[in-house]
Amino acid sequence: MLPVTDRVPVIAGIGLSELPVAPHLTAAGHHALAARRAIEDCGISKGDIDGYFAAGAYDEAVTTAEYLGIRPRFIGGAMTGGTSFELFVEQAMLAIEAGHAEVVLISYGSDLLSARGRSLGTGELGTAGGGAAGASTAGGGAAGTARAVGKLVGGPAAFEAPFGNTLVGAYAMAAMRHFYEFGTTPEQIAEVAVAMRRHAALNPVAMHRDPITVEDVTASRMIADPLHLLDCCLVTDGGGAVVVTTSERARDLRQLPVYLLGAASAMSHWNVSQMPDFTTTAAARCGPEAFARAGVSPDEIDVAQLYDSFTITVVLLLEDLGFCKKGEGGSFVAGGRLGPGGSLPTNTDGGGLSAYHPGMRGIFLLVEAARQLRGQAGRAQVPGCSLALACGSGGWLSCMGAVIMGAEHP
Amino acid sequence: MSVQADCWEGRPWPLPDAVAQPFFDAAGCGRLQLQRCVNCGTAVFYPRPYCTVCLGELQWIEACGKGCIYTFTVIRQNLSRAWRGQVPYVVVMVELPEGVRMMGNLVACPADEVHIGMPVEALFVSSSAWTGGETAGSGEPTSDRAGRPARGLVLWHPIPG
Ligand SMILES: [Zn+2]
Repeated sequence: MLPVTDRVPVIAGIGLSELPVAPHLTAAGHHALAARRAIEDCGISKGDIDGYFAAGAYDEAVTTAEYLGIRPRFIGGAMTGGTSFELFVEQAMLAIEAGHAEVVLISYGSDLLSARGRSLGTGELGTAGGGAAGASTAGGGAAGTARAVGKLVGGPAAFEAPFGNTLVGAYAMAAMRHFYEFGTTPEQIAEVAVAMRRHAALNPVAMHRDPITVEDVTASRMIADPLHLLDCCLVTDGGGAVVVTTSERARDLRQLPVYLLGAASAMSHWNVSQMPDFTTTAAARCGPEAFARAGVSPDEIDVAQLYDSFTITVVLLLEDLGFCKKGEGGSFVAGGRLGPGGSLPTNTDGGGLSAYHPGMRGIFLLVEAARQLRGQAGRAQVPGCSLALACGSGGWLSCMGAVIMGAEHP
Repeated sequence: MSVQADCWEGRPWPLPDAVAQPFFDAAGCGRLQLQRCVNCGTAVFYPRPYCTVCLGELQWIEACGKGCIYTFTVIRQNLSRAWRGQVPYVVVMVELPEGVRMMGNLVACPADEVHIGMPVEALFVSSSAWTGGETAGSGEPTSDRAGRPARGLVLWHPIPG
């Protein structure tokens, strides 16, 4: 076989498992189904997979690789929360360009809803949604005895857990500061939830498809001021997978390749109390880098997939990625700009707010961007879509990963 | 001011390692301490072995015990056993003039009166409030690497006037 000369990395295959509820599937079952569908989607031989990436709250790359029967020579799985998969794409691109891998599988699976139920990130610390690192517990407390003394908490969590903050509370504190510094309003951020719901109406497997209004959002129950129930992402089951390979190899595969034009990542903290500035995420660093690597600018993006853990997350990402100035995200999302037919259709599958969020949503950003660039998004298709951005946010606005994809060979 | 009501038994309680122990020992004596780098002057919190900027040695300094609310939220839903009966309660990020921020709870203040910029003062809760009078650490499983349960915890309340 001749050496591969065109090593431009592409997403060649995509797959989703059963969404949004699948009581019969375990997390590993979601991995397996999504991986099988992604492999069948592109028609590559499973035996050709020589790179593998995965992360989850309850599983990791080594265990899922074994479960799937993959023996990679290039493996990774840094847990950076929901954006892990954008970081995996960046790493897979480097591995493929350098010839350290030819075919990389990235997979995700979670049975969060069926296994644990919905607690909106307000359940036992480290068990709902955001991953458990930094929330290590030590000691057994006195549970089971007559006195209900609270559990003992060590490490950096000793400086957060005693105060009962929740995952929602962390994002709420970012929103509260944004409101204070820039005059952003609950009605403005609610526009994000309204737009996601309008996209979800076009996705037959979205969890919630009935239209909502700004008033519905602001009248919904307050979870952590200023975030209401409808400002918060769902808890669902689900899995997804992508196959990344070289442009040259993709020519013999079934689907139109989705070219990976540029990617970058950055982190600013892990525990939210260590966040340097509650209104600016690390996307302000990796966003410009990803655009520079791709040689494009934000105004050229046809469709955006921005991690919508909460409505405020999207506002922060839009600002930090350069779609508008810092502080102007609230007015930017008004007027249906992010919805179907808007000038920046965002989360065209309905997002984590309305479609699916099994704890870590990053893989779905990639799958949906690829569907749009292939022209396979059905009723949700953005006409003439040739440039897409996926940007994940992981942890407590901690880690950010941006990937820019195109329909044409660079 | 009585703070017993704000320190119900179910509150998760710090089990600091040796590096963090001095912070909680000081809190148990009603003092707020944090670290400062002897080399570059950076204030460091939470406690670390070395400076987070230059890796210099850190020394413990006495903080003035006052600060301003940088941001906050009112937790109205928390389904975990320890907290579900306590809602609503206020979680704050307090900015200290020494140059660090700390997470905590704001007590003795109605939720609808909390605002960013509000001046607040440290309030110290002894471990006896948590254990119901027992000596902290008695009967608790600890390892050699973990220290003893914290002697005190820092909460915040509004500065009157
Ligand atoms: Zn220093």
